[in-house]
Amino acid sequence: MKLASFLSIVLMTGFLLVAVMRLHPVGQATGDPDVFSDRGNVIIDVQNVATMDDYFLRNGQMETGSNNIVTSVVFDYRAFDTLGEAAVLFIVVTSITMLLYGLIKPGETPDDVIIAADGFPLKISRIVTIGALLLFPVIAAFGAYIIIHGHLSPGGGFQGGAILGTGTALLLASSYMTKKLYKTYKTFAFFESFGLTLFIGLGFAGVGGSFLYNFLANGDPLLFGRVIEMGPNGGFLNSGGILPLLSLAVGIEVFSGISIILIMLNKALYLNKSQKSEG
Amino acid sequence: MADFFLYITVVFLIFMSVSAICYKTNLIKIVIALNIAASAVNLFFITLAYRSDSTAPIFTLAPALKDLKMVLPSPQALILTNIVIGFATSALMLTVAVLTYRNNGTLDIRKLKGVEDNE
Amino acid sequence: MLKSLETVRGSTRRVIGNKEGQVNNMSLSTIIIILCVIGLITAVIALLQRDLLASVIGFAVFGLVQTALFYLLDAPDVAIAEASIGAALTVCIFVIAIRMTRRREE
Repeated sequence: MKLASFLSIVLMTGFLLVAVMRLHPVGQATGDPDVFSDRGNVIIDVQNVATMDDYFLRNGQMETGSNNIVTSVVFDYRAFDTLGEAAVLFIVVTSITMLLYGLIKPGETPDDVIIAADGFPLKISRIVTIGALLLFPVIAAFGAYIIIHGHLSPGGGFQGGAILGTGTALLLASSYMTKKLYKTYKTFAFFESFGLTLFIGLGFAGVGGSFLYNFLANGDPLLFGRVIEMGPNGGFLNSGGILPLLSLAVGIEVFSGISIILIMLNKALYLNKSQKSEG
Repeated sequence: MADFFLYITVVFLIFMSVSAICYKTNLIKIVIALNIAASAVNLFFITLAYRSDSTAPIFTLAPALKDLKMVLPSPQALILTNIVIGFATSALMLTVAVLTYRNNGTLDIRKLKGVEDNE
Repeated sequence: MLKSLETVRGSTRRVIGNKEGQVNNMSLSTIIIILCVIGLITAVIALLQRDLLASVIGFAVFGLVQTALFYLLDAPDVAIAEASIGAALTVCIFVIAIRMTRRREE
């Protein structure tokens, strides 16, 4: 039985190796590498390009107004997939809360003193708690910077939301405000729903063109609509259309979702430990 | 052969993950192996989108337009959502593993007792 | 300051080639090959440990190697996502799960 499974795994690896050798060599992806050479400030039509990525590289900056083409693909050309992904995160947060419901006993908060494995209370030293409290605003500022500059530099909604989530993990690990942090999950639940509703609302706002249409690009310069010419530039914050607003909505939703997951798991851990040390 | 070294790395990572899923008996070790397989697939996509002598698809402070070449942007957009979904999936798997430990007292997959039939 | 930042963006290509302007058809630079080998060794070590906490720390180092590989393959967005989610938050969740169950594999 073990021999049969090992032979099938080796056969699968052999097939994968043979298949991988027939791909293009690393570094020579398909498409036209000279997609910018001397065609002026013209939006190339869909029938004149060889691959889809040539169209994105050539027209992404002029149509959406953002410097970061990956963000424009995630939030403008393929924004419907991003809506599905935000919905998957929402469903997973709901499932985890539902599965841990019996362990959490809502309404009951654990004590601030944690009993270690040998029966003695575990005191977190003052350096750790105050250090984490001083570091959390810096992490929050960095996360907010990455969210709002998603269309100019590498970043966006998902990365910034995950960085803000690590700030919550730091506060939970230092056990600074355990009782108050466990009661904040209602605020986080409200903001998670608010983020997803803001995303869908911005999608319906441009419904004259289509759902999730970028109706603010190349329009009013005060409302994120500055016109960008093709080519390198220094980066202007008021460009990009609805890309910064969608990044903000996704960032709020991802931050709140990850914080709820961490708070629920932490609460189950501490209630589990205090039960085991009693009984 | 050095041209294909990244592809061979991906194939060996998938081989190790599938062997660990078949032969390891601890639930948490199986979840770690699944995460390694997901990371290997992400590396495969980014390798497919790579062009030598090119730069990242960002126009801020990029080289001048006459000698500008960029890598493909759409596989990177797919992998961005894949990483967040992989995190959410492993969080859900670990919650189920913790509940399994509370019900059975062990995390060994050979010793898990099933649900008795009610007949 | 803008000029110095401009040269930082293109300097990776110039360090690998010997002279500026010479089209160097080196297939894969040596640092990518070294990082791939380190990643393979780290994954093997992470899957063979009996102590689950050591296995999770090996998985975090694997995430760090992946972040460096994504940056060297010209994908900085994916590198930021993998660094914050793969190497920080996944390890956080694994450590909480290990504390609720056993630490050693039988």
